[in-house]
Amino acid sequence: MSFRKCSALILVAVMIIALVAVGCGGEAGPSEGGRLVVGNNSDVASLDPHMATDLYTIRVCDQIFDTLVRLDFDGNYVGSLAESWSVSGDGTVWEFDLRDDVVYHDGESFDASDVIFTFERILDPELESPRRNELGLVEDMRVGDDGEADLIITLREPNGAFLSTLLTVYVVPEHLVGDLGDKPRGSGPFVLEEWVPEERIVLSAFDDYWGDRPLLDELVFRPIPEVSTRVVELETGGIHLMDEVPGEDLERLEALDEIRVTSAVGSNYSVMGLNTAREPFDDPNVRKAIAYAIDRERLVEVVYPGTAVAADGPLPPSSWAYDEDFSGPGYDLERALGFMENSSVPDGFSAELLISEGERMERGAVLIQSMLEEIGIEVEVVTQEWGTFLQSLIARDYDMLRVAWTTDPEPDALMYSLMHSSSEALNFTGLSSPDVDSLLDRARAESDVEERAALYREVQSIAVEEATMIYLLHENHVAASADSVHDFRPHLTGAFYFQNTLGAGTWMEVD
Amino acid sequence: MTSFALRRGLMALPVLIGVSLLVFVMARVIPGDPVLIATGLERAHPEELARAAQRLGLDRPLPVQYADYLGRLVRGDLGVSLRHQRPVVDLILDRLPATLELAGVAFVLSLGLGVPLGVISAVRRGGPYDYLAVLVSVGGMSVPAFWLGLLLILIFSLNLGWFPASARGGPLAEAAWAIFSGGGIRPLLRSLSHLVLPSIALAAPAVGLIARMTRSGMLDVLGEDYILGARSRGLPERSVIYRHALKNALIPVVTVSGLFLGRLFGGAVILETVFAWPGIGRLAVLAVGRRDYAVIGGAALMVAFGFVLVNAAVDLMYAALDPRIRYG
Repeated sequence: MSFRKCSALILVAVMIIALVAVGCGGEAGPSEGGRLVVGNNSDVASLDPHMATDLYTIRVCDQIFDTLVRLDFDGNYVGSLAESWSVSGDGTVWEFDLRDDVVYHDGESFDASDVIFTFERILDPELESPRRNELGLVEDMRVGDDGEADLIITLREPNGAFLSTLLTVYVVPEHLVGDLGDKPRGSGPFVLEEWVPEERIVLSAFDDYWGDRPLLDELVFRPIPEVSTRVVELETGGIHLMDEVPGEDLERLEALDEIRVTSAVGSNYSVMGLNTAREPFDDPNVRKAIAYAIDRERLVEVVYPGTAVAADGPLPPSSWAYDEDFSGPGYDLERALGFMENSSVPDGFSAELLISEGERMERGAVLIQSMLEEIGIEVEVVTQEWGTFLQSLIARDYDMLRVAWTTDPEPDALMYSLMHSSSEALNFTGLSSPDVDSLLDRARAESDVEERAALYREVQSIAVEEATMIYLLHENHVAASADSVHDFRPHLTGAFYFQNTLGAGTWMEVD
Repeated sequence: MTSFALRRGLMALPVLIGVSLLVFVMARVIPGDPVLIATGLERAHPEELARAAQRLGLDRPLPVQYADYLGRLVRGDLGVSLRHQRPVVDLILDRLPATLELAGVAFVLSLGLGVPLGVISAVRRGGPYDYLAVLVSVGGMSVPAFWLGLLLILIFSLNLGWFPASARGGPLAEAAWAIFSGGGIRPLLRSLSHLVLPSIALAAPAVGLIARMTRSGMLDVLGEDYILGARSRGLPERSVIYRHALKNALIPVVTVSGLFLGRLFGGAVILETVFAWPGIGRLAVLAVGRRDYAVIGGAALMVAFGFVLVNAAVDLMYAALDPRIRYG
């Protein structure tokens, strides 16, 4: 063997050893590839994003379509199709500069006229989109001339919460609208490959996405309605990711090496509403007595261990208007009894507590029942199926009820319709406070975020003082995933994001 | 025979109309606003709800709504799903094969297990086999299907890892065809492995009932003179039991299993949710929660139609089993 040949062999051997050493060395970093299977609670209703209302449909639409702005994991607005935006001093004219590197799944380019087409489609009464009402505040929109912003939207009246409205306005260009029924295409990070109703939705990474191409090659949504089945599928590898993990499975799943549990504070609040149109809930003393008699910490500890935080008021910790220094009525039996004594019913009374079906609702109701018994209120729990429950709520046919309110973290969405006296149907406790009304109106018209936060905090303290709603807790979004899934975080809205434009991109270990 | 089939067809009509009326009224009597449920509380607007109710015709008197519904029904129009924004006929046709497949396999399973179990039980009356068979059949009948389903998932998917916990492993017929068209046996195994747990859970009550019916039928027949005659002529016991006794003992079993095939559709409604089986049952369960009236009505009519069809088939089968029965 010549020296040359020998040294070449040694070189090859060294290279192989080096390669093997690199391959074995420590944790592998993010890499492209893999097929992530998500266990979804139900199949999508349809894939027309302008008709979507339920979370499980929106979750899939979020992959295929894009919006002007999105919320990052901390609840801040970040540009998506819009690169930047500004609002006029009077809060009515919103100007957007759009990305010029966006293409649709069919290769066509995105521009401002597509946004206008989308708005017009949603506003068309023929379509009967559930978003039509929200967009009613738009007076005019136009493509900007040279030297102007790309897109200029004029509102009928100033609205500081306008960006929140845009979160679900999925942009669909005119040339793709005809395909929404069979093969919906948008400009989102994933492309629809296949939809077998009630079986699976298969999506593949969009190579020409304006952000980085998703690290996952394939994303599959499998509808599995029964939660116990979903948990078994996760444990046996049939799916890699699920959320709304039931409290009773949480501890067991957390203890498993091959399962990772992550959670995010949700953008919601769960309340006990008191019907002020009925006696004795028209008496503020009775309402305050109830507010002080409820031990929220205990409710969380017993019924929602690790899946919720006790609430001080309506603003959840995930909201930008959240006030760390604010504390609501704590558990104080003495004070509660004092309020009862001064009330119209010092000897106590009996009332019904209306809840919707669900294991936690039922267990929570029993706990509340025993807490209120301490101050002489005899509670009868009435359980109704969800549709029936909603009807009773709208008709205000109840004494006390428990309901959760979930929106995006915009305080206007969280508070306005439940608390403003003009909102007849949804202000179901009958809160009627001129101060709350004027504060809510001012906050809506304001576009300065600091100013708005201050106003909403004021609303919060009045609402808590009025105690028509007893703020109980904020539920977390709890997700469980296989340990091969990396950099997945649940989002405060319950949405699933896998692309890296909002945070780290989700990736999978591939064997 | 033809006139009998025609008569059965005409008799089915009032049944179907009755079912449509009953389901129509019941669905609308439960409180709940389909538009409110679909929109969600957070996005609800009272004016919008009223407008939508008007558009859907829900503000009109019930008899008017029903007449309208029936009118469209006659033309084969089951309406459009509020939730899915698609014709109900399409939604049902998409999901029908999965439900038929599950019910069909469960049916075969319940006959395949139930009849032998009953025969053994009767022949070995009072012995340990009999007691075991009685235990299995009573157990199968008394355990709620959804509970059995979850139990099977826990044992055979989670603990033993033998079968997948949920979903359909591809259409069975296609998978079977793959063997002949060069696709190999894998698709069939995959399809069957997904079918095992849901079909057992679905078949369990039927197995129990069919075994009980077969057992009592066999015991009755085995006491008849002609069996004694057959035995005295020196026929082998096997032949006595299978050729002479079983055939006559099966008449009540056919009736019951026919009715049960109909009930398998009903049982599938719950089990499809447990096993994430992509059939009509899931469509129906979701539709009830959503007050998706058109889908509720369509699914109920579909099941009723299946019932009627099976019953007619059972009547025809009597003739094949018992030469004394003739249809004119």
